[in-house]
Amino acid sequence: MDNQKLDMKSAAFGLSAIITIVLNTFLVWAKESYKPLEEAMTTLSGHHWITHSIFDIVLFIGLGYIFYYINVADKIRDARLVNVLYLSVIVSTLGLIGWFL
Amino acid sequence: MSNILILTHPAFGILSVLAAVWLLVETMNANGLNQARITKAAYGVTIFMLLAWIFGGVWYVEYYPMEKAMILNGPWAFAHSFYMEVKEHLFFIPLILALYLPVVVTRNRLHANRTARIMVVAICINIIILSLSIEVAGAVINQGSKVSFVQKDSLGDKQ
Repeated sequence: MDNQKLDMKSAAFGLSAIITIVLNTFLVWAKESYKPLEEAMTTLSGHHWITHSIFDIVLFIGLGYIFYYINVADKIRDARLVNVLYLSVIVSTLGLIGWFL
Repeated sequence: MSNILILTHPAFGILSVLAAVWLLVETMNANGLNQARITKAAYGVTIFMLLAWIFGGVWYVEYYPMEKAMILNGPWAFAHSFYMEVKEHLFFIPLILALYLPVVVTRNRLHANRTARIMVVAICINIIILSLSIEVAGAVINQGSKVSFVQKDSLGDKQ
């Protein structure tokens, strides 16, 4: 019989991916509109883009494990998570395109 | 070195897209016998995407600043101000999705879990569309650089 729910870790990291994707766009807006932030990010690793990369990956992995251990994604292990993922990708992509237009 | 990086970056990006297409097809035909191929394809997407990120990142940090100055002084300044700016940040979305893929694929039996199949298909579609858009942006940036050098050469000839 078909199972309709993702396992806990997939749901936790799915939620983490959604949040990371959205925060990625927020971080772009923040560093582009507040130059001291971009300078601080440059100071941290030598280039703001490297710091941005590390931020996104650490956030994704870190939030994924946090959500997994506190069972936060238990209630959204179904297709709603997929819909929110689609939405986050579309909104974040349009947010980036709109910002630089 | 710059040429090697600038060629390997989009090559790994395209390999990641091809692996995502493979994974998409395998997932839509998940039957319990192809779980090993699904896992291989998912790891393929992740590994190729990571390589595209590393090679592209090294090139962007080490070699792009000089080219950026040329583009911004050329007739296609938008190749940097729009296409590169969007590309360098949009890339993180398929990267995160590619990192997420193995989690879903290895922890769920796709042939018996409709939600997991829908999730993998959604991720593959997003990776394919975004990565191909990023490839197009790369081509525009390359062209922006080219027209800047052509303009510089033609101005140099007149002087």
